[in-house]
Amino acid sequence: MKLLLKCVHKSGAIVTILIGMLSVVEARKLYPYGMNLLTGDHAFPGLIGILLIIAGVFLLFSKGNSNDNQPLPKGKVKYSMIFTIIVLLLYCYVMEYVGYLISTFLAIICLMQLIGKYRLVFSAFTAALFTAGLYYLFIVLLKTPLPSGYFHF
Amino acid sequence: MDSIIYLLSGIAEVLTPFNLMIVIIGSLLGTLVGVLPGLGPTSAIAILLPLTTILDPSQGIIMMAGIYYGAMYGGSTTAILMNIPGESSSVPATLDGYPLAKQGRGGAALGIAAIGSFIAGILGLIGLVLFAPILADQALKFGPPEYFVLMLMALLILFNISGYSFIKSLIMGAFGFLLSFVGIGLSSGVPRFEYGITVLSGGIEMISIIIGLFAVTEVLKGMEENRKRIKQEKIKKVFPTRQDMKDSKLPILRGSLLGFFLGILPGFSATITSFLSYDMEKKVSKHPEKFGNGAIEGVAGPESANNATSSGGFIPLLSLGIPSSPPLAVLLAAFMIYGLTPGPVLFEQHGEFVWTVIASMFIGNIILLVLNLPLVGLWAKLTEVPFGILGPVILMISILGAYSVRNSMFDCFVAILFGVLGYLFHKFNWPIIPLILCLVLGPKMETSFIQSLEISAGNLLIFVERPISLTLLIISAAVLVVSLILMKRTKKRIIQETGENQDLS
Repeated sequence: MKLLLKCVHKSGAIVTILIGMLSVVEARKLYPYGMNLLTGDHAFPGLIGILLIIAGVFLLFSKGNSNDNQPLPKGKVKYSMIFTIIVLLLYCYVMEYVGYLISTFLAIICLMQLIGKYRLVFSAFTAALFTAGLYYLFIVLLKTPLPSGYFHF
Repeated sequence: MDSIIYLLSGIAEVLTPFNLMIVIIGSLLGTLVGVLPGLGPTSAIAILLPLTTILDPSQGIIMMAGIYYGAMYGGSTTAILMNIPGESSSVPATLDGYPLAKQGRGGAALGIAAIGSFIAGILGLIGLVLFAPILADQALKFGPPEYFVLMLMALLILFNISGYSFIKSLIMGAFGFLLSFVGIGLSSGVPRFEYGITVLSGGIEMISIIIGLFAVTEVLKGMEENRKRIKQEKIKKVFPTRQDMKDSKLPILRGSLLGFFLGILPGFSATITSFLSYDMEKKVSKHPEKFGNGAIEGVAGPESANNATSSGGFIPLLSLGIPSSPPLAVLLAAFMIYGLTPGPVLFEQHGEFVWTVIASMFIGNIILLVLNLPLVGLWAKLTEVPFGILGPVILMISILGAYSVRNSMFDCFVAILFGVLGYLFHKFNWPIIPLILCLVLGPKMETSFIQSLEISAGNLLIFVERPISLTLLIISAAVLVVSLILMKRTKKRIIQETGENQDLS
């Protein structure tokens, strides 16, 4: 546990330093467009980059707090969470091709199976209800041009 | 006097049928999201913000304000009936509210919470009407260096309220700044942090980040906790007795004044003021032994302080453009989406809009009191909606909401990414509040910084040489010290009462 805490703490510090360096590099790239060292679009990214590097180094040599590391979920819960994220990513990707109606209906069924573990019939019924409700809210009421996909609905 | 006239004309504007409907919908939606366990005012505003974009700016902000104070009110329902504080500021309400509910007096506790919140809200709004225009008038003397100092110090103080390690808050704040830099540079027009990816030149939509960090993360947390239906105490009588009212009169007044005056300052979150009010009531009570066992004063004081702090926070938001709490930072983002910049100029250029919004808060508070007392039973029923249904619905609204801001699928991916990051930040104790505050205030701060250094030809001493900015620095330092002391105290109290560390913002 102590080793894991140390590992997460140090990784956080290293990522901070890397992001800081990235910001400083970007500031250097932007420097020719500025007026002087502290005036222009490069100034803030540069200052923030330096701040991140210093804070990261400080964090690297500081001790982590025991509260800073709660155990990550295991077993079924872990897989449910991972699959929920995958379903969301697929939903966003697939919506452009199959359209709002089909993708939303299927995504809600999958999410209800993953989060609520309901029976398929109940999930399908609820999914149909919410797909229609969200259609009315976003497409009819808010006029959001959600993708209609190849099937045009 | 002018303020009263503007306010009256604002009230006339709000009382048109459509605007009135907007206020009612906003307050009810806010309460609805607020009563759902785990979702607080920040999540409520973030999830519902995209849905308001169809409205014109004043109606949109009226609805957002309704959602904000509705959610603050809704939080106390779960705290009292189920011993689940939606956010840390509702913890004091559980200490005596839940014992009252167990004695069959949950309705009275909710009634007192509603009446206290109403009185505190109205007192806070009177303060807003009196002080905000004066502050905005003074703020007209501020130049870019003063604004930069003000925002910088406000951020440093607000970093403290998250209650996490200062160095981690600083890093998360800096990360928030970096996210706000992505896109076209403010002064040169050259794309920054774009790396050849065209979609990044349009910047990263802050609403998608907020939706991810609050809504998506909240569902992941709920899945992990395996949220189940929790048995709640039955509500018998909603209206408090005459004795309850008599006992609560002074605690409501004290809580309102304390909450309002501390709420104006950044760094004094509703959590701090509600705990201060609870401890103060226990100290002044003739029967301190009743506290913790169902003292109605223990609900009246903190709930009033909680609500007054929320109203007080509108003063720096509207007159200076400085959010004093995370939900107000999201509200500031909402202003920006509507193309409005809160601050002294807002009062000058969009006076009618500002006064309509303020007037809507008066009406909204009345609506909350009138509708919510009889609806207490319904709200309590809603807390029984299973997470298995609620979770997927929140996720769908979040994804479609993120899409609807710019009609871009990229924003949906951003929301999912930040949902996962938010969960990991929560696990490893990295505070997200500084990230949100810096993300929202980033462009304003950078503009002030660049303008200041253009004025001084690159001399950084401009920030301490001008009398107003120097005064602001000294006042901010004093506020920071007091806020640090109170923060430590509140942290100790939360651990005493709940046995665990919580985000105190």
